[in-house]
Amino acid sequence: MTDAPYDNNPVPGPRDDAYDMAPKGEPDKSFEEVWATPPGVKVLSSVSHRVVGKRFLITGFIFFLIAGVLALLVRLQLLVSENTFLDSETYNQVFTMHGTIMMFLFAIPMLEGFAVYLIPLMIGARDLVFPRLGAFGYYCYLFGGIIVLSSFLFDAAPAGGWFMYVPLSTSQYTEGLSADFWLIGITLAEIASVTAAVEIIAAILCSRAPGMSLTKMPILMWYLLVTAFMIAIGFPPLIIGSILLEAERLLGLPFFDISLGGDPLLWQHLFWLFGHPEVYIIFLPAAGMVATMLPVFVGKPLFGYGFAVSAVITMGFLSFGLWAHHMFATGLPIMSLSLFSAASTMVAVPTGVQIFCFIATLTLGKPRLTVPMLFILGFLFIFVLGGLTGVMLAAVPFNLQAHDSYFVVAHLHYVLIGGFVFPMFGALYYWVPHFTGRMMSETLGKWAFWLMFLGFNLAFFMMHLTGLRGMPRRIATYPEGIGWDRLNMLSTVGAFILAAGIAVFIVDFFRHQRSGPKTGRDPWRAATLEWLYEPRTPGYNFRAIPAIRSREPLWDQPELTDRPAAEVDGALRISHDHRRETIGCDPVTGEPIQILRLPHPTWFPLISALGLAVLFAATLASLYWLSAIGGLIALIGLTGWIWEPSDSGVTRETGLGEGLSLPVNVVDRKSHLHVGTIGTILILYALFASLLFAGLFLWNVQPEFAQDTARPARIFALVSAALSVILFALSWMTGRRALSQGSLAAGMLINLLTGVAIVALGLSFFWALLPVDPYSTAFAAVGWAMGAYVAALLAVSLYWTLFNALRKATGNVVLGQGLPDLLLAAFGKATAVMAGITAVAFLVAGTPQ
Amino acid sequence: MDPYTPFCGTPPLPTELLTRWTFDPVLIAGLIAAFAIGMRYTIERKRFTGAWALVAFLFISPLCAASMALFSARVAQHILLTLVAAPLLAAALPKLRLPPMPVAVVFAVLFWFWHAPAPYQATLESDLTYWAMHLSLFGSATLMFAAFRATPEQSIPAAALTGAQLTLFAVVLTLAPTPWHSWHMLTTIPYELGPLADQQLAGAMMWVAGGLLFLAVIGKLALTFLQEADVPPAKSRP
Repeated sequence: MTDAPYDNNPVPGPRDDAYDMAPKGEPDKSFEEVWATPPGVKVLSSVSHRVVGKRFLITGFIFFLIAGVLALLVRLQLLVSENTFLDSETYNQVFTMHGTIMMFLFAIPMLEGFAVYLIPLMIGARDLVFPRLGAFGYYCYLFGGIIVLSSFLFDAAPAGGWFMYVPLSTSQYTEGLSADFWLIGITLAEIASVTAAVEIIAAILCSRAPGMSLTKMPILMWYLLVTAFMIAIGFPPLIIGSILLEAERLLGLPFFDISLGGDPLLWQHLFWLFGHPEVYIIFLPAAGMVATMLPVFVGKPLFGYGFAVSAVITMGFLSFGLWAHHMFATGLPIMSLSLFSAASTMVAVPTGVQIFCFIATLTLGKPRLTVPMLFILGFLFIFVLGGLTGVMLAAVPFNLQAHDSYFVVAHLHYVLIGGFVFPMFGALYYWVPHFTGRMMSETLGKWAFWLMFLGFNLAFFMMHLTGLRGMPRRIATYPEGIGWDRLNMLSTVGAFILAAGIAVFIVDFFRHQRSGPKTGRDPWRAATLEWLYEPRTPGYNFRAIPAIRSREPLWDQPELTDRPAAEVDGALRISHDHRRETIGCDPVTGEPIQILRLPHPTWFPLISALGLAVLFAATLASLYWLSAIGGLIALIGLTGWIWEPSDSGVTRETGLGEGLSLPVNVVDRKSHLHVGTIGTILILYALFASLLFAGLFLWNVQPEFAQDTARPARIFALVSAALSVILFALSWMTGRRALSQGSLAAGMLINLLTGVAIVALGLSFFWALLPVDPYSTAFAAVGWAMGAYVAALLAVSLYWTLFNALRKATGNVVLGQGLPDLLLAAFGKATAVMAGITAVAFLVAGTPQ
Repeated sequence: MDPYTPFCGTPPLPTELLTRWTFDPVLIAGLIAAFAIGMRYTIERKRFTGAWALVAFLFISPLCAASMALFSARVAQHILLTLVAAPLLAAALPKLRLPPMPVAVVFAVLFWFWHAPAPYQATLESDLTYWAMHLSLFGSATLMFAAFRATPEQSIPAAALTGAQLTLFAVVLTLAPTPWHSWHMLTTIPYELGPLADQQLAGAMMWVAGGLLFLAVIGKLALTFLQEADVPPAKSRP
């Protein structure tokens, strides 16, 4: 190896002087100690993906149990007709919280937990690329979940159903704070989802083991990558919807008020624009875990890897086009219904491709009927049935008949429990030995499976029939003798059998930690890298990061398994600077391009999340001075987080090839930080697009109100457009200078000019909007919402550009440490584009007054 | 002054529709010339012939005349042109290394522009505008799919933008409470379809049929990428 495979490297040779500016290593510690989890209460400062991943899994599982108990309360209430166990208001709270917790606080965090824990282990990295972001996301989720759950304490639990339809959830029909608990708590928890999306995208694309090209990735990585992109685009519509609804409740802005040109259907569009992809976001990672486990128990590689991956990518796109089929009963144009119907049945095609890949894999060998395998077979059975009732519901006449009945309840539980809960239990049985180093019981596992499988089918198959007999969902009780009694009783019995199965799992979990047999190396004879070490894997995951040549490395690369795992050859065995490090790769080819420095334990994620939680909770309690304090704490936490010396500018030997040296935290567009920034920008565009959609939707369906709305001041809209172009140009220059290592003084000057442009742009937008009264029409309110969104982007850009200028002014940057400016450039360009589009929208919307 | 007759003729009645072929000499000459030039430069003669035959069909067959009466027929023509003929032609061209995002933005702008009421009306008032519309839509779509093909792994944001903007436009069209195009106010009546229903059909076709065709292209690109990347490199290690 003569030269780095990475050829247009802008960083010239070693600059060891730069490292002296970054005294962040812990030279008194050994390699093992650098990676050790801090003891005692300091564990809360840990940022390790394995600590954070397990926290997500445990917290998610606790929420699963809480929501499960709520489900049992529902079933108890419906056990007999005319039951008075729960009054109807409590009943509404219970089913709403059941759905809300299961969807937002269990399913998504659980899959995040698996992703956070498994990704580095499966791709040969020592940690995720943004460990602090993972820790921050977890705390946001935890605090958001606590806010939602605390509503029970105030007897203000949300009661409007998990999809919070307006106008029921507006302040006119839902007084008190119950809907606010939902909107604020869930939005805080969703921060964890979008940060996880950025984390997953950057980790999978940028930190794979040497030689692991995209097509050599374990199949689960593809599923998670597509899921992460779907979260990045799918969650923003709900976040925007929640913010608009909260603004209507809190400030009285008329987004959904039909008398001022709003539209309740706007909420449904935004909600299902999220809600439909959400089903796939939950299903895909579970399917990916099945695709990982199935080949292990068959002993053959997955059949049709390429077909499965392209089916997953196609599903990712497809899921965003089909939300309207949740709205068949809302009065969509008749002309469109049959086409939606046809399209909905075609979802079965990419799903079918995957299921056939699984079934074909099963036929390749004789599967070992272990407990995870049983759960996989249970998944195939239940999910296929749920898919079939989905095809039934795609037929419009049937849909209108079964709408809002227990048939739908049965369908969605077959899809979600079949598509997520069963694979998840299989995955827990499969990976728990990796977490704890001990095996769970096969006997108890089989009991758990059969109880869950039989209980589930008893409970939910009956609901198809109850639904076809006309029982609507969400009714607190029903009269006797209209054919629902026995079916409901059977469903309740089934639900308790299902719960017994889960109880067996919990008992076994606690039992196995004490008396389960110790796990040997690779207990399932798996092929993927996470089983390279004997569980529990040491804190650094890989003593040296091995080169990968195969999709099934443990099966095909004997040099990995013929010696103790710690002696396997690879990159970064020698740690030069007593830092946490891993290898960074080219996103496509997997060739190593950089050494990626990782953070050590820190309190800043916790402080930032705590500040944010105070901000959200105080807003809920209308204590706005406290909100401001919370915001300030979050800002201080964030500043401490990012005020760290740059690691770029030095080159270190990797131990790969013949003395391959690579730059540390390379200043390049392929950097993990740049990829992460692009991921963030994707989310920001999706948020912006959701607002644009809201405006376009209202303009389209309520044109007379759009006509009545005052147009923003033309001259300032034009100035805003011009300033957006200037901001774009300045951001472009920021990026050029960072890559070409122009002088620091020039960089500082550009930073400051950018700041001036941002302030001018913000003022110009404000003056443009002044003639528009946000309370006059919903259309005007959306205009202000767009202005507020752009203002938020500008505020972040301003903070960032001043931060970068200050860093240069205080001598914290040397030449060649251009990453912060490269990232700022990308963010500034995106801000400029969105500001420009907003300015153009202001030029054409409304009527001049 | 004679009233202008649109390129595809006056809106046909259902009974005469199947007799309304557009044998315009300039069109035929243009198609023959395009075929001759294309066959010289294409790397995939079958695909090129397929794309060419589809384009010829879209403008010569009665679909062209039908699009004078029904907006939904016009949309069907555009869907087939931009989402079937264009990717097929792109797959028949030598690989073009274009930046995906700017090309996708150009396509998006053209797509929204040409389907807005005023420009749409203009295409029915001048042959030149009519062809400016079709050539710019077809050309930008072809370049976009060529860019996706050349670097599929870098085209994901651009593909997402394209999927999103096509869907958004289709949603707006489907849910619009009034017909947009005054041209079609009376032309749809002989087909027992109100102008609004015609427009809703057009929107839903764009949303669903267009969406599925776009997905098929994405799926094919993904599969090709995976299969090409899967071929072990020549310098494989021991």
